[in-house]
Amino acid sequence: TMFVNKHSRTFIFKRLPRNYRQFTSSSTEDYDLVVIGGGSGGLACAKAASQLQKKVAVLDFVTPSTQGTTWGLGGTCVNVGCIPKKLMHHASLLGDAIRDSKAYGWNVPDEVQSDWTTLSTAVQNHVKSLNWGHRVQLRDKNVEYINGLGSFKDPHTVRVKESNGTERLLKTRNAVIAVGVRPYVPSQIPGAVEYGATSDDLFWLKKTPGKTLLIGASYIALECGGFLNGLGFDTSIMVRSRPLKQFDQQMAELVAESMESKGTRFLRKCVPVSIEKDSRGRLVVKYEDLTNRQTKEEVFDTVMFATGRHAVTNNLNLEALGIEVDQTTQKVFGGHSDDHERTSVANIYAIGDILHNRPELTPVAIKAGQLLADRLFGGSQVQMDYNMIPTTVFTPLEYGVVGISEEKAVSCHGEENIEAICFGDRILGLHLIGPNAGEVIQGFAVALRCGATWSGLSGSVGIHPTTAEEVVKLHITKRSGADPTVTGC
Amino acid sequence: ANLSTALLRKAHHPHYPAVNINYNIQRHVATAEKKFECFNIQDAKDFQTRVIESPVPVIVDFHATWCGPCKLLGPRLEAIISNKEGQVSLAKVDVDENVEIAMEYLVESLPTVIGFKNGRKINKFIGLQEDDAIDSFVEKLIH
Repeated sequence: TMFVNKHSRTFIFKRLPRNYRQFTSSSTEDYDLVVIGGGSGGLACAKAASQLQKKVAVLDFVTPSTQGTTWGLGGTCVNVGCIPKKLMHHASLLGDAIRDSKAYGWNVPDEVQSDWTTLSTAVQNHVKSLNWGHRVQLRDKNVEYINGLGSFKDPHTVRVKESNGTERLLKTRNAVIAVGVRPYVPSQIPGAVEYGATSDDLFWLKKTPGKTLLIGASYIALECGGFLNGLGFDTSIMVRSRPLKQFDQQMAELVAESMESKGTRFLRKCVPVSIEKDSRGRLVVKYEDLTNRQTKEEVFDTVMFATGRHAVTNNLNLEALGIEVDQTTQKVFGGHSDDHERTSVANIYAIGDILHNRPELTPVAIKAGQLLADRLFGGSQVQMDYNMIPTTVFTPLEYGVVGISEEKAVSCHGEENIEAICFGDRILGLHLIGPNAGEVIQGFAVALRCGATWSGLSGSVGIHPTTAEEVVKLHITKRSGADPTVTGC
Repeated sequence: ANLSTALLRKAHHPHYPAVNINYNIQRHVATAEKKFECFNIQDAKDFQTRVIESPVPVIVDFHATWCGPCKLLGPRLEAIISNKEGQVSLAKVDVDENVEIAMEYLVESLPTVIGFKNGRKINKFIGLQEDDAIDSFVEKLIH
């Protein structure tokens, strides 16, 4: 930038970029790292690498959803995942709190309604402030940000196509694929792609969702169904087999039951057949009840598919480079040369949801990204530990878990060796359904990582009165058949 | 600056009307006899012309649609500046539409208000302020 002083003396000075420093690469075009994807993993990796004085660029681009929704920098978590989800989950719980407050002496009206526009606008404004925050952070950490679609020309050249059409070639020593995944909508169902919304759209819906059908049994279907029901919408969840198949099944059933008791309708063992729009613009869903093969029909205002998330890697040109992907999921294989995130091409890595067979969680992507940057540029040898990763399903009654399910424990160690999920004294898994389960489980996850044993747990004194103390008071085994319902203190 | 250069500047910068109808301004500013400029910056070139090369000092209000305090600060700025009889102008920069300008001036939190005079950044404040604080900020820029 040039400034001309308009007073009697004229001088010209050139202002240097804030964090001007010499880069060690041979030409100004060479990057040490190019990250494709500006989500949880990508941003963390880029910032960590830049902290180590490396020249880094991050590419981020959002291909619009099937319904045309798009968003800013930050990836799934910030824009269409964790953040808006948790805010809406909290909003729905506040409704419960308002209703409960009457019994505690608060003067509240008998009927309280939630206003979707007020809520969604507030959530969207918060998300946009986070998009901005990420832009500022990248600038502060001297990471170059390019809003464009990246692909590989060769292992050391990333082609980026910006939204205005200009193309650039970035020469780089290393690259990280952090493009994440997107909702999968079964296109073979007539009307699904045309009329079906997904989690990409729900948080950005301008109009109120109204009577909603969620198709799917994943945590996404249940979390969204949970808060929509809590906000007062007529909510149905269509499940083909069982809810939360990836989780401990006893806990999954308890979650579903708690949601049903709050008024969410589960259409079990049903599959959608077609979706059409009626003359009033509402959606007519034909579905089949698999138990009796009967076809039924019902009208909804909104239909949301939560039928899995898949990788969209066909634009990256991975095949030409020989980067191996899983044929079913299209996710990138890591694990080459004993590095969890290294792909089949030596200088190219994958982190976050796009990495095959790893938990699709923000903190996992962030940590993997940071550790990768340390290995690439900081001389570290530390690999990401994908074991004992805690997580929580934010249904109205939350389900927090660290470790393995009972099914997995039995299949690994044999039923005779498992007692209320304990292998001898070693704790293999801890599952909790209750309010604030997410907050409770975090501390126990640390305990398990430090090798907490059953004796250690049961020898700990509880904090009273809390939900968390129930964990240290556990004493009834499933095998005993005794009734675990707590009656008194 | 001597009188001849002052006149020279005026010849190159024609006065704009009190309310510029080429730019969408949501709030109409009531002006009495003196002219008061309040405009939305469209791009970097616009910023260069109307802020950097402005003959009068310019208060630049960096704001965003998602920023609550910005919505409160905007009218306060307009009210105070409209009473300064044209001695200072108000430029509004939506940081989502003009990211590069915001990055250049190291804007982080919003609202950020920067006072420009003769093409240089003179003073700055961050966050919603009371009227008297805003007024003394504007006065400091003018004098």
